[in-house]
This record gives sequence, structure tokens and C-alpha cells, in this order.
Amino acid sequence: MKGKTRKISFILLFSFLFLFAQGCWGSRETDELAYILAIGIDKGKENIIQVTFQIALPRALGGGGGGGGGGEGGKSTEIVSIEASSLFGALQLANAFVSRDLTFIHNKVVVVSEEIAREGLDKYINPLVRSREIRRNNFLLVTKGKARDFLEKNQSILEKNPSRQFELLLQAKNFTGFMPFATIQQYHSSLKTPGRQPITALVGVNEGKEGKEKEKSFVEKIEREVAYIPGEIPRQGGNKAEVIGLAVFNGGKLVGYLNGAETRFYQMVTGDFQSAIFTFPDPQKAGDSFVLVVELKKGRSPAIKATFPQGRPVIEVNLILEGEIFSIQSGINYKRGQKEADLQKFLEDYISQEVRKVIAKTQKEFKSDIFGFGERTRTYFWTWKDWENFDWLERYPQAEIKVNTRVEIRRTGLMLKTEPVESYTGGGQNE
Amino acid sequence: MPKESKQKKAQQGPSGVWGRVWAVAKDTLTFKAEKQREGFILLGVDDRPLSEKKKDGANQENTGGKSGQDEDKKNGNREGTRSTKKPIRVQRVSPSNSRKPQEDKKDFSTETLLVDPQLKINKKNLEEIYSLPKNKDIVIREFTIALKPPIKAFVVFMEGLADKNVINNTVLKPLMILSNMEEKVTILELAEYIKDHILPGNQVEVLAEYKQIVERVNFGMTAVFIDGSPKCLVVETKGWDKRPIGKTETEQVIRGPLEAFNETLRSNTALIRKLVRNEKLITEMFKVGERNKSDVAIMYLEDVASPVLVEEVKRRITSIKTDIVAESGSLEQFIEDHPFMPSPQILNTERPDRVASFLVEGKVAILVDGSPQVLVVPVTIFSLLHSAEDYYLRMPYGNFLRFLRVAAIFITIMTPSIYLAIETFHQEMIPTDLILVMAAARETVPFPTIMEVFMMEFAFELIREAGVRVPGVIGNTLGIVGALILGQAAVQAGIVSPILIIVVAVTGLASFAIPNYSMSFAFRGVRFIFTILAGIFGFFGVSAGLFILLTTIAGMKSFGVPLLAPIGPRTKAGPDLVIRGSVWSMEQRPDETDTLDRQRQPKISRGWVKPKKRGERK
Amino acid sequence: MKNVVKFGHSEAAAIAIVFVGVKAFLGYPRVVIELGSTAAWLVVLISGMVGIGAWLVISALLARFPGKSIMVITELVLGPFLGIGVNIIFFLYVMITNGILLRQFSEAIILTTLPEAPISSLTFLFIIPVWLAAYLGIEAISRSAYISLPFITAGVTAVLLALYPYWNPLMLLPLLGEGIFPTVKYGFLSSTVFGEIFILAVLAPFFAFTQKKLKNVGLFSLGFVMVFFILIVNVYLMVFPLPVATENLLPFYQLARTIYLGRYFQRVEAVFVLFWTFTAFLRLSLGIIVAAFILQDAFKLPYYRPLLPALCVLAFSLALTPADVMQNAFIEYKIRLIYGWLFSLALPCGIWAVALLRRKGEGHEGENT
Repeated sequence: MKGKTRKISFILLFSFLFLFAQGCWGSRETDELAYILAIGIDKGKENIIQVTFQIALPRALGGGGGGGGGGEGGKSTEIVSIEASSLFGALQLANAFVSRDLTFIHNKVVVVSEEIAREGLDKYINPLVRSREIRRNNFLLVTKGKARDFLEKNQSILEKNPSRQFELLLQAKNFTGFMPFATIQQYHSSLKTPGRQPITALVGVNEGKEGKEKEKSFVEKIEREVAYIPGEIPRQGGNKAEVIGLAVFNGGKLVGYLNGAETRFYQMVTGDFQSAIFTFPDPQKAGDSFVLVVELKKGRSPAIKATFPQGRPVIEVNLILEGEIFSIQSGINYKRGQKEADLQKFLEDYISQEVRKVIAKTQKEFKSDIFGFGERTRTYFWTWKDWENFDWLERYPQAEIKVNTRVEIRRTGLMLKTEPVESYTGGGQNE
Repeated sequence: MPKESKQKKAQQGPSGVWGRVWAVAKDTLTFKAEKQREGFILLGVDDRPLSEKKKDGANQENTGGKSGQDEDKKNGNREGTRSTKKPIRVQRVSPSNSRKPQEDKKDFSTETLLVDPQLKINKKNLEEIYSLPKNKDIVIREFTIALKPPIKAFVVFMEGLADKNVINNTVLKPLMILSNMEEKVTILELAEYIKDHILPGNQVEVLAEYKQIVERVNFGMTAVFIDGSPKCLVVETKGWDKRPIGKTETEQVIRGPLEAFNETLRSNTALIRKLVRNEKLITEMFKVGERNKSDVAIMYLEDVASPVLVEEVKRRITSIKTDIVAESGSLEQFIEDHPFMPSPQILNTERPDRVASFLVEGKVAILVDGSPQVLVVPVTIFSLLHSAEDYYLRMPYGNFLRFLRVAAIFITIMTPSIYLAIETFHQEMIPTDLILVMAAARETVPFPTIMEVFMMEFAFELIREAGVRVPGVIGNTLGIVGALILGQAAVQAGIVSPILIIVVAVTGLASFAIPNYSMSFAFRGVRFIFTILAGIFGFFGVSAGLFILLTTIAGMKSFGVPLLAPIGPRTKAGPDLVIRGSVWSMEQRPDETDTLDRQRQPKISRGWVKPKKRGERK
Repeated sequence: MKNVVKFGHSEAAAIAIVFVGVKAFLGYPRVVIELGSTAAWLVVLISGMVGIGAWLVISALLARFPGKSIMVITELVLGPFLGIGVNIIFFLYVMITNGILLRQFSEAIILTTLPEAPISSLTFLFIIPVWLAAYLGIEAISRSAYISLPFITAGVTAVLLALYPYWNPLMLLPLLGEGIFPTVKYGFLSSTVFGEIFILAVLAPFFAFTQKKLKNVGLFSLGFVMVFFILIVNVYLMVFPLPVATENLLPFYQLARTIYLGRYFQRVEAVFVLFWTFTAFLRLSLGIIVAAFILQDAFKLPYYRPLLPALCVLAFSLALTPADVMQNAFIEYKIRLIYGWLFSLALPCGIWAVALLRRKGEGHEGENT
């Protein structure tokens, strides 16, 4: 009996050892890997595409063990570009000059250049979605210009770690509304479903040159306030890379842009809008160059209904917003009586008009339903085939879309009313 | 031809100068036994196969032969496939011994000897049994019992085990001085008469067999041999130095009694009796062990404990055949169901209040003389993870402690393996900031992670074991401080990464939080296996390890009660499992021990609480 | 063949839930969406109803012969030769299912956590704990299942709830998917998934409760699993709209990957792999034991333990038979899902019909023998 158990245990142990002989099945030490934080895809000159990797340097970003600080003036990441025929081909080729094993597991963004996007992004999405290492909640960005430029010129002033920078930046949608929350997951889903078209966030590089702007009227200036696409914001200093606006796709091809202001209104319709601060011309004193600053917040999700009178699709959009007044330059007390109703009506009309303009732009210029109105028409069909045959995307440019807004001003900040300014007018005293 | 000459030459050795060098070297380098010195000489080695030795063994005398056979068996020669080399005879090489035959107890077996009416013969028997002039522990005191006519007698007792004051006052004084009465009694009834009327000991037995008498004298009782009586009186006179009732060493609580068991069986039973003052509490005694015959007692409440359970415990204890059971730990290993499995199936405790509460629940307590740990059976794994303080504190605090302990168990088993699995296989789980810090820290470390983890774990275990041996106050601080300093130094030297130190320290601390000592060993051992699995197979290995561990524990039984009882097979669990219900809500005894009386307290155990009527607010 | 092991209704329910429900972690949601598009939940519901109906029939059959497992009943009802034939068919069905599942799990592990492991070594490694657990006996496994079931349920619920930011209820419309008739048809055909309730029939002699309770146990398990399947399928459809949903190989894993609740709670799918492999081990060890029981009762062997190593090796070789992932998926979803219900549901129902006709069973003994 003892001999038998001995033999069996020996055999088992031996066979167990064989399992280990092949190495540890994919176990890799943390310092054997090179972590790619951002991927950029450009059109290549010598090959099909030029892929850019932003590789993290742990010594600079992590600090030494036991308390050493990070590199002060040194680079925190390394940016390499390789020309290859495919994304994974580039990955393999990069290992010719990068010592560690490149891996995508901590990748945060995929930046695609305008050229590639206009040609068609759908064929490049496939490896991103299929791969085990790239995750679907990486952000997908389209950049004006080349992706490599963007990644190189992206030197954040506050963050050393670009991964953190991207996350925080792209989460800023919560209080500005400039950027949509566009991940590969949403892009891929919108690409394939017959009720919607995909979008990505828009980025670019601002070289800081002065723009040649023609003279604009006061109201035009106010309208122009956030209506920029990346690269055009009039500013100086700070990180050269900018994230504002979104890119509109038809199928897999880029067809146009929405600037910052339009993006806000887009988000209001889709229900992703959280809050943003708007500047309006003062309705009571229109010509006098006073502005009114109101923060608008999402009151409730927009109620969108699709109806079919006479077989034509009619979409009704009802937006509900709440507001808080941040600045009344003219000093008029808008929270009293009739003035309040006037102000609300003014805001509602303004917003409805702007939203209608954006929707019309997507209908006429881009012919692409990025709002997802098509999804609302699902309620009218009983089977999937019927809905597919309805082919909303073809009908979208002719669809009729009505927009109503309701704005409620809830608060006025810390001040309840504004007293007028006393000054010397030179008119003489009252004797 | 050439072979022969070679052999001869080898025998002669080289000649000439080399020959002398060779002779000197041989003299100094070989060992020569000097026969004049005292000591052992190995006379021969027995290389015969076992069957022949067995035949030899059967021809030997009783006692000597028995021990020889037992020894054979103990060496594991069951089938006779191996032959062992044993010295067969050992001889003292001193002249005084050389003429005496070796074994002195050979044809004198105490099995069947009876007390002889003649005092002289009894004395001679006792001298033979105890090897008397040599053996200074036994005292024989001769005296005369002051009856009319006076009768000669002697007492035998073991010095050190018997209480001398009791012997003087209870045995010698009444027999020698105070028994001055005249009675006409026959010789046969003399022993009974003395026991009834003259000898005021509180436990007196009248015995005739030497076997029983010798057993009792060995344990501190006094034997009174009376001239002319074929019976002898054995008086209870136990009294030896023992450790007083002290504080608990290993199961300390802040709130609750601090008495602990000590090494004497009778003190321990007294401590339990103090807490459970019930006439149905039964103590049954057994003797376990051939050579030392230690007392083993089991205690249980007759109207609560299941009779099947008691029978099983008795059966297991009485069927043990070994030569010494020194401690309750050895007994535990003899009677437990699964000796090789990681988790213990018998609870041991040194607190009488815990034993009392278990007895009332219907469990059986096993006490071993000489051991301050009392065993309680049957036990579920949840009882192994409770501490006494949970019950004495108020319910929210008790539950808080229990949660902490459950978390501690998970941390003990899983933390190093999860750390290892995440660091080597699933780096994506760590936030990007942290992974870059870890990668930077690891650049200076020359070892792979799995070796790091093992080294630090091993060092921690070493420190812990060393801390046990260091006496007094230093011992406790040595553990923690030593580990931290060692860890810090290792980090500074760049041998391990700093996060690992935290992991190992937290794991070690968590393993201290497990109340039962054997259980913490179980978890510490299992932790190493998990680490190996995680290092090779990642999370898959951790999962496989968890599955095997859980299934193994689920299949274990403790005296017929499954170890995971209220959850394992789902029985009616009281509110005392992971978290503890309030004291007044524990109405039923635990279902799995199958007690005779289920209800422990009525539904309303707090009589002062008035039941609320429906709809009434206050 | 006396059965010393008995377990109660909670463990029986736990075993049945694990046995049936493990399919949700593999490709079942994808297939049911492929078959029924947005009305996938309806397909699951109909499958569940079919399963429940078949279970009622099977438990009626078991009630006629209290305390006997279905293999013994088969032999009593159908006579010796046909009975052994049917038992062998049962055995083959269970073993083939084991083999296919083992392959699927190994492939899933390779895809998700150990990308460089060779398939044969990993399958071997899978089989070792399965064999150990089967060796420890069905008692231990049933208790393990009962203990771990709340955790697994909590884990699944956590995944489903953590995806709340991604839920888009519009994706569940249009309601009828492909249309009524295809939905019902596929509902019937894919009831193989619920046919795994067959295990309760095989383990009938081990239950320490009455036949009436057995029926309730089966109903409860089927209902529980059905509810969870519907939830998983719906959440999967809400997060990945229809055309995308049919693309993923491992739907539940993709769901776990998409969790993103802020900067620190992302990329946590490795923890769910823990739950998932645990369920896989439970299912496979139960499967091996069930196959051993079928053989034991069919051929009236005194013990089943010696069969275990042989069955493990058999499962191992069956697992390695398909050439690649696609072929395995094809076998599982185009062949076994569509036709498997014939063996696990229709066959026992047929036996019940025959028992009715031939008037066999306790208290039903009629004039015919």
C-alpha cells in the first residue's frame, strides 16, 4: 500500500513539474512591461498608417521607492512613431527599439487624424474592439492636423501623468459641456445600429497665433464666445492641446464638426448635458452691450417623442432646464414680477432657436443623425425587420423636428438685488 | 595468480619507510575500543529477516517479550518486506553487573498477584515491584495498629505525590494512636472493620489485587497492608505541588473572567463544576496510555447532550492503545476524524467559562490530566472563530469584533496571493498612477515577485516563531518591531518593494486576530499554498485553490457533525453564526448537535419587558 | 448501493441553480439574442416555460417511483435491454456536454486571464480540482455550492447594477424581435439550456425530502435561473445594442469589462473571473459525478469512485476534440442547443408516457406487469 501511494504521488508531482516547464503562462513582472498611455493613428508616407505611441516612463512618473521625487524637468513620457500596415504590426515593430514588452492595458485614448477619419474609421475600429488589451472605454478622439503633433504638443501644466490628464479633461464635460463622452464603446455601438450615427470628441493644437477676425457686432461676439473648434480659441499660454467640440460621422466617415457651443446644445438633446455657463445679451438693454450670465443645468432628461402623422416622422423635443444667474451687468432686477417671465421667455426662445439651428445643420449639411432620434422610433414597430426596413437614416434629412424649451431660474447667487451705481455725472446739483 | 599476490600485498601493506608511516597513520586514524572503560559495546547486529525475529520474540518472557513485539510493530514492519538492523543485546561492561542476569522483572508479573496475608511476603513483593532499595521515591513505613491485640501493618506511598500531612493525620495518627478499642473481629473482616470504624480518610477502598494497588500508589494514594488480612486498604491522599489557578495566557479578554485551567485534572473539573452547578453534569473517567495511565475525564450534561455523541466519544477514547498520552493535543490527534486536513475539528480552550457555555449547549468536554487545555467536541468551524469576549460585550460591539475577525480571515488567506496575482498577471486592475509607482519601485529589485513574497513571508514567520521563545516582555515587541525594522531595511537595501512590506505586515497582523491557535496555523499554511497557485496561475489559481479549500472543509466532519454545519447542510441556525444576535434571542440550542432538549430559553426571556400592543406608540 | 449521503432542499436547489445557470457566463446570451433579437427575453421565457412543463412531467415520473433515480426507473419501465440503451444515451449526453463545457471554459480562461497557456495544459489543470472535488463526494460539493451561491448571485447583480450609466432601455424595443412565430420556435428549440434540470432526476435517491418537495425545488431553481437569464440578457442588450451584441464571444465578460464607475473603479473584470471560474469548477465536478452515477445505476455497480479518474480523462479528451474555438461554438450552439432537449427533456417525458401506458409505479400497479 505504501509503495503504491508513493508511486502515485511521484507521478502526480512529476507531471505537475512538467506543467511548469513551459514558463509561467503569461505572468509578467510589472517592470517588464512598457505601458502605452495613448495611441495616435495618422496616414503614413512609407506605409499605410503611422502609429504613434506615448509610453510612460515609470521612473519619472512613479518616483523612487522610499521617497524620491519624480523627475523635475525631465520628460515623463516618450513618444515614438512607427509606420506600419496595421496597429498590431506597429506594436511588434516598436519592440525593435523599446526594451520592454509594449502593452495596451493602461491605454487611455486613441487619437485619429482628420485624414484617416475622412477616409473611414470603421476599418480601424475592428482591432480596437477585438483585442484583449485595448478596452472599450478608452476615449476616441479626432484631431485636426496630425495625431503625432497633438500627442507631442500635449504638455499638461498641472499633470505629469498624461493618463490622468486625459481622464480629468474628458470628465470636464460635467461642468462645461464642451466635450461629449465618446468612447470606443459608444462609437462602435452607434456605428452598427440603424438608429444613430457615431461621434467622437474633437481635439487640436493651438499654436497661439492671433486669428484674423473681422469686426463683429456685440451680439455676434457673444454668440462667438465658445463657438470654437480646437486650434482657434483666442488665448495665450497653457497647454497647446485643446479639447472642445465634436466630430460628426456618417457611417465610418468624418463629415464635419460641431463647435463648442453647438456641442452644448447637442448634449442637451441627448440628455448628457449636466451644466454649463452661458452668456446672453441682456434682453432689456439689447443695444447697450450688457451681458447676462446664467448657469443652466439639466432639470430633467429631455422628453423626446416620435409621432407619425400621415406616415411622416415628426419628432418633438422638450428640454427642461434650470438656471442660476451668475451676473447681471445691467443691474436690472430680473427676479421681480413681469421681468422674470420676460427673462424666462427670452432664454427659452434663445435656446430653442439655437438647438434648432444645430439640428438643422446636422440634417442639411451632415445628413447624419447623431442625436439618436431614430432610436425613439423603435416604439412604433413590432419587429426588428420592420424597423430596419423603415431605414430612418435615409429619412432623417427630411424629418420634421420641433424643439420646445422650458427654463426655470431658481437662484441668483448670493445677491438678491443690485443697487444702482452712484457716480459724478457732471449735471450740477439740485439747488 | 595476480589477484592472490595483490591481495597478499594489500594485507601486508607497503614496506619500508612507507610501511612505518602507514602503521602510524593507521594507529591514529582508526578507533580502538578500550575494553577497560565502562560503556556500551555493540555486541552484534541482528540482520535476520523479520520472520525469524518474530519466532524469537514469541519465545521470550512475558513483559520483555511484549515490549519487543510492540517495538517491532511500531517500527512499521507489517509485511516483513524490510529487515531492520537493531542491536539485540546491550551489556554494561562493569564488573559488578557482569554476573547478574539482566532483566529483573521478568518472571514477576503484577498481573495476577494477590495480597498475601503475611506481611513479610507483601513487603517482599513490593520491594520487588518497585525495585526498592534503589527507588527512593517509594516509602514504606511500618507501624503497629493499636487494637487489642495490636496488629502489625505498614503503609506504602510515593513521596512527593502523596500529601504527607494527610497521611500523618488521616492514616497514621488514627491507626497508631486513636484506635485504642477492643473489638472481636475476624481476620477476614479486619480490613472492612478498619475502613468502617478507624480510618477516617474520605475515600477508602478495599482491594486485593496488586495491579490495582500499584496503580493507585503510583498516583499518590497510600496503601495500608495489614498483617493477616488478605485485603489492603487504599486511602486517597493525593497532594502535590501544582500551579495555582492563574490567568489565561492565550485567550485574554478585556471583559470577562480571567481564570484558566491548570495541569491538575481535579482542579479543572472543580473549575467547571463551579460554573455549571448542575446535578446532571456527569464526569466519567478513563485511563489512557499503557505506561503512564493518565486520567482522561469527559464531562457532559446528561439531559442535554445526545447519547449517541457521548457513546462515540467514549468509544474513541477507550480504543486508543499507546504508551503515553501526555497532553490533550496528543489525545486530540488520536481521536480526530481527519488528521491530515488543514482545519482542526476539535476545539481546545483554557477558559472554564467557555467550556461551561459549550456544555450547556450539549457538547462534550474532554479533560486530560497534565494539560491545561480542555477539548470540546463536536465543533463547527464557526465556533472555532468565536472568542469569549463576543458574548460578554454588548451586541453591537460583539458584532463589530466578529466582522473584524471575518475580514481578518480573508486577509490572512488571500492577501499575498491576490497581490501576487495582480502584480504579475493582471496589471490592468491597478490604477495607472499606482502601477507606474510599482514599476519604478521594482526596477531596483533583483528578484521576481514570487520569490520576494516567499522571502518576506518566510522572514515574518521566522520572526514570529522566534518571538515565542524570547522570554517576557521582549518577546511580544520583538515580533512587531523586528518585522518592521527588517522590512524597512530590506526596502532600503532594494531587495523588496515597499508595497510588499505593507502586504506582509497586514497579513501577519490579521493572522494574530484569529482567536484559535490551531486555526491560525491552518490559515497560515493555506496561505502559502495560495501564494504558489497565484504565482503560477494568477486569478485562476486563486479560484481553484478557493474551490478546493471550500470543498475540502465542506466535506469534513467533527464527530459526526459536519464542520460547516449551519450553512453546510442547512440546519436551523440560531442567531449566532457570523454575527451574533442579542442574548435574549438565542432561544434554541444549535440544531446540528442533535441535543435532547432543544429549547434553551423561552420566547420572552426578559420578563421585565412588556409586550407592545399593536398600534401603540409608547 | 445504499445511499448514506442525504442532503436537503437548499443544497439541492443550489446544485440545480449552478448546474443550469452556468450557461449565462458563456455564450448563451449571445446565441439567444441571435435567435430572437430584441425579444430575447421572450425566447428565454418560453424556454423556461417549456423547461418547467417538462420538469413537472419528470417529477410526476419520479413520484411514481419514490426514492429511485431516473436510471433505475428507466429500466423498470422499459425493460432491461431498452432501459440500458436509454441509460447509455443519457450518459453519452451528459459526458458530451461536460466535454464541450470544459473546452469552452478553458478557452474562456485563456482568452481572459492566461493568454499564453496551451489549451491542453490548461484543460488538464482544470480537470485536476474537478477530479479532487468529485472524489470528495457530492455532499461536499453540494455544501460548497450552497455556501458560494449568495456570493455568486451578489457578484452577478453587482456587475449588472454597476453598468447603470450605460443602460439604454430603448434598445430593448421593438418588442417582438423577429416576430411571434420565430420567437416561439426558437424558444422551444433552445430549451436545452433548462434541460439541465435533469440532474435532479439523476440525484433523486440522495434527497432527504419527499417527492412533492422535489417538485418545488425544481420549480424554484428553474424560476430563479430564468429570472437571472432574463436580467442578464436584457442588460446585455441595453448596453450593447442589437447588431453589436451578436459579435461578442463572451458576453458576460464584456459586460464586466465595460464597468467604469469613475477613475478608481474600472478594469475590475479579473475579480469577476474569480466568481466565474468557481462556478465552472462546481458545474464540472457535478457533471462528472452525475455521469458516474448514471453509469453506476445503469450497470448496477457497487461504487462509483473508481469511475471518476476514467471519466475525467474522457472529459479531457472530449474537450480537446474540436479543432478550434469556432468549431466548438458551432457544436455547442448550432447542434447541441437545438437538439439537446430531445435527450434531457423529451426522453424522460417519453418514459413517463410509457410508464403511464404500462401502468408501472408505486400505487399504480395495474393488471399489466
